[in-house]
Amino acid sequence: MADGRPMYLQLIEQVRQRVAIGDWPSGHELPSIRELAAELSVSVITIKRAYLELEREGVIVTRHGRGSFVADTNVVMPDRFNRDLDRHLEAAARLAAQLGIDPETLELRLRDATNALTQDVSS
Amino acid sequence: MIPFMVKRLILKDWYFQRLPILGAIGMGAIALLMVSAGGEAAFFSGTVLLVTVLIALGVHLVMATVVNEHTAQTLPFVMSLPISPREYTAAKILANLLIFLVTWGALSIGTGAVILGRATVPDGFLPFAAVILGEILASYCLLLAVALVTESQGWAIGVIVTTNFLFNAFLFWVAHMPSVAATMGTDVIVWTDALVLLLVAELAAIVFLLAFTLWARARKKDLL
Amino acid sequence: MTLAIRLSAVGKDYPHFVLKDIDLAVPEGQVMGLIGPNGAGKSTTLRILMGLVHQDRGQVEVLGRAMPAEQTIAKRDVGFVSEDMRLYKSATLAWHMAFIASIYPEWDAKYAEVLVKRFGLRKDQKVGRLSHGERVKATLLLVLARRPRLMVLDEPTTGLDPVARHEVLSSLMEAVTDEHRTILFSSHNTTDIEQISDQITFIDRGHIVESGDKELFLDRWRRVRLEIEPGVALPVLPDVVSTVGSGRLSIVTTSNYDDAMSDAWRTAGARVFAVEPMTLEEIFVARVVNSRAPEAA
Repeated sequence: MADGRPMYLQLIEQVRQRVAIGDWPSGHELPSIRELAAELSVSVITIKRAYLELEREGVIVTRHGRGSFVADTNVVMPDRFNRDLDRHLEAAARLAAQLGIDPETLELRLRDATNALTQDVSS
Repeated sequence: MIPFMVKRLILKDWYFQRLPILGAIGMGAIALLMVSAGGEAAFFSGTVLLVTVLIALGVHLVMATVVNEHTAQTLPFVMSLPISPREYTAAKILANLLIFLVTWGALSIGTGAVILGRATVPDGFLPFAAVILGEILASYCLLLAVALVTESQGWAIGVIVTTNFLFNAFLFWVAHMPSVAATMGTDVIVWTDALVLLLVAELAAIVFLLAFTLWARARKKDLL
Repeated sequence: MTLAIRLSAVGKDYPHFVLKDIDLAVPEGQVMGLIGPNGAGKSTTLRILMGLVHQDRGQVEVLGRAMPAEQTIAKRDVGFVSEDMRLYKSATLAWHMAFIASIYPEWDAKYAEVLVKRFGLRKDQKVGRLSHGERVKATLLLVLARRPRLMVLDEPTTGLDPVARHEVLSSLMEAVTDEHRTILFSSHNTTDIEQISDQITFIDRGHIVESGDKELFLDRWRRVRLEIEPGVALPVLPDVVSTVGSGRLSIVTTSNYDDAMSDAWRTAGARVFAVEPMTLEEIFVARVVNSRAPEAA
């Protein structure tokens, strides 16, 4: 858990990234749950959870007895990421409210975050 | 016949004790040569060496194969194998007895051959030698039994020290029995009732000790 | 669902320690991690499982066999490695491999060689000369190469350097790619337990404190940081394991977090400024500390 987030979330993220950048095209077969568990030295139950969640989100499709495959990405991806972004923004808004931060300050903070990201990428 | 795992464990113990076995037989052979060489000094040192070799082998065997299994912590490894506690006990007893009996048997026969065959050694020495050799075997079985039943290094050492002390007393006592004292130096072999009784008692003790060991170990609930 | 391990109401009495009411069920194909402080009863439980210690109460079934009555048959398919176990010092690893191979026909010689290389061991070296880590790996190798249906491991990664630890965990997970193989292991190292366990059992002072799905544990336990006005009393909520406060800050640890709890706190006038997941270690400590001293929450 190097980045502090639950392992299954990290896995979901990694799969989504691979799909997003085209590493894993539609129809690509994912490693079986147990194979991936062995490869990463991570419990089967965590891999299972990640796969279940990915299937729920429509990123992958599991055919019983045959394995898991990347879903038809054209349909899924932009939709998926947009929903994610909305969720994150809602969470940020909620946190800001709890911390007593007003919307303008929140916007500034978001700007800072974007700048930091571009700095990271260029350095 | 002998269960597979018991055989494996016996072979294992034989493998680990191969050098002591050879050493004991070798030293024992030298001792017999000394005994038959002629002259009181050679006879005396030869017999002392022979007795020492047998006792030392017995002590080493029990310490190395039984007591050590506890102190060296190899017992969990052995017990994780497909074996029952009863088979383990059987394997230990058999491995030990077989190893010791081979050496003891060879040296006893050698002793008999030297006594009867060599002119330098009076034949009348035979009954005395038989009783002493029998006592060594019985003491060994006692040590084996105590080690297996108590699983304690302390108890084992206690038995070693006690039997060693008693051995000397026993040696003295038998050597001074009237018939023995009278005929030991001659070529007359005399088996008195007392001597026969001693031999029978030694055999009975051996049988009892081994049976007791099997019984006591079977009652144990915990191996560790 | 086939159970590889089943303990029902198992108990054992020692002069200074009592193991009681141990109920444990490990389905085939799973990895179960056993955590507990020193002296909690982990080793005793594992020994009872292996038939090395005879329970005073309860039933023990391993791969469908009653223990310790059928231990000889059961142990054919079980591999056991414990912290207090040693190999024969004067013999080499090669000798041990041959010894085990002569007993178990399922010994996979090729896989054994792979493991020798992977673990960085030398077969011709006398076991007495191995370092602690090498010895642990050697003992594990003797079990792994048999591909047993069940592996019972008492502290398999304790005292291992990070590389060795990684090699071991990797080999263990490789074993369960076969869904009919099961692992039960105990460890102090909550990171290992957290990483590869499907199910977790907390054991403390001779009894099971909690047992269940690892992901659920990690999901349900939360540490909540609150800011309260002085004089405000926090509402008493169920499943709060501990509340620690200093000044205006309060840290609440709960075993079953729900957003409704944050609402309740906010209604009472507190500000919830963080709801944090907890590592297994933190969960374990919180649970054990709480179960030892009845909490007036």
